[in-house]
Amino acid sequence: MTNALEAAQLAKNYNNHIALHPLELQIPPGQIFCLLGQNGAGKTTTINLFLGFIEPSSGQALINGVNVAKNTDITRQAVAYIPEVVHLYGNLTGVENLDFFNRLAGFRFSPKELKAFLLKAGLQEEAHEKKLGGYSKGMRQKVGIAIALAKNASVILMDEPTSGLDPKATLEFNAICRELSDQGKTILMATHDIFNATSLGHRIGIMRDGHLKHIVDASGITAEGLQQLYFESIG
Amino acid sequence: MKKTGNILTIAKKEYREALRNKILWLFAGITWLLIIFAAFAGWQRQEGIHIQKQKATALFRHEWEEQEANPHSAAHFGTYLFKPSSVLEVYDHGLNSYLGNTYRVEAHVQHEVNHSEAEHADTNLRFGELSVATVFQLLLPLMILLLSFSSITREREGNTLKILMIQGGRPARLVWGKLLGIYAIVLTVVVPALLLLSTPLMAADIQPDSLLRFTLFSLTYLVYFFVFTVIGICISAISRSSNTALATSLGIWVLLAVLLPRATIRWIDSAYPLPSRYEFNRTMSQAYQQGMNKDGTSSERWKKFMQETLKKYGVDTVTKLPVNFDGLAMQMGEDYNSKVYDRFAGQVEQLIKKQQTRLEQWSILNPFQAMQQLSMGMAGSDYFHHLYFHHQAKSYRDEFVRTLNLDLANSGSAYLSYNYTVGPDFFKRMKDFTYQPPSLKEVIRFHQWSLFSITFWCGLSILLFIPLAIRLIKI
Amino acid sequence: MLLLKTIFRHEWKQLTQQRWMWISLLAFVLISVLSLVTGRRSVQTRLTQIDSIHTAYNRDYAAVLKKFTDTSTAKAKTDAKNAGMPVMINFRLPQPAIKTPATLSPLATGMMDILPWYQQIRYVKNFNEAAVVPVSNPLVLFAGSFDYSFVLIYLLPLLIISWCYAVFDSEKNAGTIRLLAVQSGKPETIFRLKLLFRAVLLAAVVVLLNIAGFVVCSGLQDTNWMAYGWWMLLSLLYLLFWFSLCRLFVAFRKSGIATALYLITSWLALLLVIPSLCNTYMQAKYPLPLQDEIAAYRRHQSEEIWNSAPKLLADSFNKNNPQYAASIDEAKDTVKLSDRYVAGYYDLLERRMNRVLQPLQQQMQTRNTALQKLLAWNPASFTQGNLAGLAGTNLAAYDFYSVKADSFQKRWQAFLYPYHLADQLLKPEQFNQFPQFSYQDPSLDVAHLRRSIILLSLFSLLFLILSNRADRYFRFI
Repeated sequence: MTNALEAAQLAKNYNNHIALHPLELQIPPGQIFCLLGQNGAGKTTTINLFLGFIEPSSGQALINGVNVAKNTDITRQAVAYIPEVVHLYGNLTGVENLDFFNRLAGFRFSPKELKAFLLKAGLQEEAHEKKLGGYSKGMRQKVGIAIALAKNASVILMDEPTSGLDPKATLEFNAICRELSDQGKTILMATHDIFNATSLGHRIGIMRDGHLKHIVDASGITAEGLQQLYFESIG
Repeated sequence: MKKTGNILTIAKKEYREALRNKILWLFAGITWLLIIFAAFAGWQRQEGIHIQKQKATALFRHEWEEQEANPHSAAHFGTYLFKPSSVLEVYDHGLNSYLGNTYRVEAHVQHEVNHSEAEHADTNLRFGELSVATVFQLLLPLMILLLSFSSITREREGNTLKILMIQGGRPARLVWGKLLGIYAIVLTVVVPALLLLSTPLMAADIQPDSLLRFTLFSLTYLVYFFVFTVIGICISAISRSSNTALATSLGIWVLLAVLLPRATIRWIDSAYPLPSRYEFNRTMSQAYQQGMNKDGTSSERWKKFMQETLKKYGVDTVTKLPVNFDGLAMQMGEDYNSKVYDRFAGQVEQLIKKQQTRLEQWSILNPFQAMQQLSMGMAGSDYFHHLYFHHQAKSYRDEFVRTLNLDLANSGSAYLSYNYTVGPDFFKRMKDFTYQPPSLKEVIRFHQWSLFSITFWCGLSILLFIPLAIRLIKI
Repeated sequence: MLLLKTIFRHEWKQLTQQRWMWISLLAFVLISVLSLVTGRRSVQTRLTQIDSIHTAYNRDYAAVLKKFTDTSTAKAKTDAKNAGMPVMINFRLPQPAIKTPATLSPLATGMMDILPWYQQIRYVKNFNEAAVVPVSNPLVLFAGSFDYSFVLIYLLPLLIISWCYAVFDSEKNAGTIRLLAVQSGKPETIFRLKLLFRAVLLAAVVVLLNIAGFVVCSGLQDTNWMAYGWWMLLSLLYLLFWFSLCRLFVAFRKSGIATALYLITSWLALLLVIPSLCNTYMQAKYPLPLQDEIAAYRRHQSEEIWNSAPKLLADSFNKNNPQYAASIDEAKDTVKLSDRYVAGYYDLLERRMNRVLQPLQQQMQTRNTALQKLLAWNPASFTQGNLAGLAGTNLAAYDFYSVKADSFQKRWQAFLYPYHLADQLLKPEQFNQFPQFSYQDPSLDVAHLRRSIILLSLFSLLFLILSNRADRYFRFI
C-alpha cells in the first residue's frame, strides 16, 4: 500500500543555510501526524515542500506515490491546505470566499451546502454573509477549515491550525480531525501545541534545526512525557 | 546642533544606501550614455551645419561682389542669408527642426525663413529627438521620481520607520534628510555631466555669452531637479504603500511631461487660431493690389506717386526728372510691400507670440513645460531667436534693396533704359549681413513667465509641499 | 471552462471594488474623447479652409466670365477684349490643387500641420522660394499631436501596464496565493485568466472608442470600410502586443514594483528613447543639406537662360515639345520676350532644375528610408506609421499629392499652351473644358500593413511562449 505522504531523502537548503536535512518519513493513509518544533526547525519548509511551493534541493516529496516537484498540479488535487494565517478576499463574504475557492478546485456547491460546510467548521451563521474584512483570526481560520473540508482531499496539510482558536473551538476542531481520519484521510500538522498533539495525533515527530530528531507513537506517551522529550530534544 | 545632526545623518545614510543600489548605477550609466551620445551627435551635426553655412555665406557674398549688372537686375539676383546657430543649440535643439534657416533676399518679395527639417520628414520625427535637454527635461525627472518614491514607504514597509521616529528622527528631520540625501545623488549624477558638457564651451572662439547662458541653463535645471526630488519625497511621505507611491509618481510624470504639454498648446492654438497659408497669401496680395485703408490700388498709388514726384522736382514729364523714376517707383512699391508684410505677417507673429505667452503663463501649473521654454530660450533655439533673426534679416533686406533702387534712381540713366550697370567696387561697398544675437536680458524677459514658474515651484516645494508632507506623513 | 467563468466573475467583482482602476479607465476614455474632438475640429477647420478656397475660386471664375460681356467703361472694353487671352486667364484664375483630408484624418494628424496641402497651379513653374508650408506656431508642431493615434500608441500601453503589473503581486501580498495554488493546482492558469479578463475588457473599450472615432470620421466625410477595418485590426493587435509583454513580466513573479519598473522601462524604451535616439542618429548621419548650391544654381540658370538668344530658346522648346509644332512662327518666335521665348525659358529652367533637385529628393528619401528601417522593429514606430498611413497623413501621402499636383500642372499647361502659343483667345464656352484637379488618396500600402500585423502577432506569440516557459521556470517562487 502506498504511503499517503512520503519524504525520501527530502532536503532543502538556501545558499549557506540548510533548512531541511535529508528527511525520511512515511505516513500511511488515515494517520494523523503532528510535527513539533521551534521556529526555524523545518516544519513549515517540510509542509511547503509537500505543497509544491518550494523546490527540493535533493530527494523527493511524494503524495500517494506521486513526485510533488514534477507533478505539482496533480498532487495538489489530492491535497487540502489550512495555513496558519488564512488570507482571503476581504471584500467578499465568508460564503463567497468559500464558493470561489471551491470552484477553483472544480467544485460547485449550492448556497445551502456552502453554509453547511461553514457551520461544520464552526463558523456561526450570522457571520456567513458578512464581509471577511470584519472577521477575527479565529473566524478566518474556520473558513480555511471549511475550504479544506469542501475539497474532500485525501491528504490535508495544516500549519498551526489551532493558533487562533479558543479552547472550545479547538475541541470542535479536534473532533473534525478525528472524523476525517476515520474517513481514511491523512493529516500532517505542524504545531506548537504539545497537548493537542498528544490528544489528536497518531504519531508525533520532533524537529530541530532541520532534523527530524524523534518519532513517537502518541499512544505510548503522555503529554508530560512528550513535553519532557520535546525540551530535551530542542536542548 | 542635534537638529541638523539628525538631518545629516539621515541624508548620509540615504546617500550611502543609494550608492550601493545597482539599479541606480544602471540608471546613471544609461543617463550618462544618452547624454554623451546626444551631445556628441549634436556637436557633429552642428559642426557640419556650421561649415555648410560658412561656405554658403562666403559663396553668396563672393557672387554678390563679383557682379557687373544693372542694380535692379542685381536686386532680382539677390542673395541668401543663413540663420546663424547658437552654440548651445547643440544641447537643446528646441524648435529648430520645425524652423527654417534660409532667408532669400530679393526684390519685390518679402520672404520667410524657409527650409525646415520637418518639411522632408515622416511621422517618425514626431517621436522627438534625443538631446541633452530631452534627457534633462524628460528622463531625469522620471529617474528622480523612481529614486525617491519609495524612500519613506520602504522604511515603513521594512518596519524601520517607527524605530527611526523613536530614535529622534522626527518627521521634519526625516523628510529633509531624505530630500538632501536623494538630491545629493541627483547632483552626483548631473554635475559631472554638466561639467563635461561645459568643456567645449571653454574653447577660445566661443562667445562669452554662451558660457553665461550655459551657467543659467545649468542652474535652472538644478532647481528643476530639486523640485522633482521634493515631489518624489513628498509623495513617498504621504502614500500608504510603495505601490501607491509609484503609481502616483508615474501618474504625475505622465501628466506633466506627456499629456499636458500637448493638450495645453492645442487648446491655446484653438483659442488663437492662425490663418491658413492660402488666406495669408491672398490677404497680402489683395492688400497690395487693392491697397490697405484708403491708399488706393497699386496702379492708383503709382500714378499718385508719379504726380507727387513730378511736383517735387517741378517738371511735367517723367523724362525731365533729374532722377530715374523707375528706381524711385520701385522703391515706393517696396516700401508699400514692406508695410503690407509688416501688418499681416506682423499680425501672425503677434498671434504666435500671444500663444507663446499664454503657454508660458499656463506653465505655472507645469514645471516641465516651463523648463522646456526656458531651456530653449537659453539655447537660442526658440521662436524668439528665430523672430529676432527674421527681423534683422528683413531690415537688412529692405536696406539692401533700397540701396540698389536708389542707386538706380540717382544713376543719371534714362527712365526705362536698362543699360546702366555697376561693378564690383559698388557691390563690395554694400554692407555684409551681421547678426546681432539678443542679449540674455531680452531672452529672459521673453520667457519671464517660465522663469517665474520654476521659481514659483521651487518656493512651493519648500514652503508648501515639504511642510505638508511633514504634517501628513503616514507613520 | 468553469475556471474561466469563476475567474472572470471574481475579477469583475474585485474590479468594481478597485476604485483607481476605474478612475484610470475613465480618465483614458475622457482623454480619448477629447482627442477625437480635437481631431475632428482640426479637420473641420481644414475643410472650411478648402471650402473658402473653392468659394473664392468660383467667385473669381464668375468675375472673369463677366469680363467678357462687361463693356460699360473704356477700361472694361479693353478687359473684355483681353479676357480670353491665356496669359490673362492664367493670371486671374490660377488653379487650386488641394489635398483633401482622407476619411481617417481626424484620428491621426500625422504630418497634416507641417506639409503643404494647397498649391496654386499656373502654367509655368517658377521655382521661387516662396513659402508653401502651412502657417503654424512651431511650438504646436514641436509638442506633437494630441490625436486619437497618440492616445492609442502612447497612453493605451500605460493603461494596460497599470492594470496588469500587480496581477501576481496583489495575490502574493494579500497572502491568497497559497490557497489559490493549492485549490487550483496551477496558479499560472489563474494569472493567465486574470490577464485575459483585463485584455477582453480593455479590448472592448478600444473597440467602442474606435467605433466612436469612425462615427466622427463618417460624420465629416465618406466612410472607408477598408481603412476602418485595418485600423481596428492594428489597434487590437497593438493592445495584444502590450498585454503579451505584461504577461511575460508578470510571469517572472517579481514584486509589483519591480514588474511595474520593468514595464515602464519597456514603455520608455519603445516610445521615447529608441525613436528619439534613431532620429538624432539619422539627423547626424544624413544632415539636411542647405540647398545653397541649388539656390545658387537657380539664380545663375535664371539669368543665363533669360539672356540666351531667343532662337536658342525657341529651338530648345520646339525640340522638347513637338506637340506645339503647328504654332511655330519663325519671325515672331525669335523676338525677345515673345511667347515662345518665354515658354522656352520656363521649359529649359524646369528641365535643368529638375535635374538638380532630383539628387536632393533622393537624399531625403534615403534618409527617411534608413530611419524607417532602423525603426522597423519598434512596434510603436511602425504602428504609428501605419495609422498615419491609413489616415492619409504620412509623408508618402503628401509626396503622392505633390506628384499629382505636378501632373495636373502639366495638364493645365497642355490645355492653355495650344491657345497661348498660337495667339488664340479662349471663348467663355470653352471655360468648362478646364482640366479639373480631383484628389484621391493613394491606395492603402497593404504590404506595409500586412508586415505590421505579422510582426505584432509574432512578437505577441513570442512573448506568450516565453511566458509559458517563465511560468514553469518560476513556479516555485
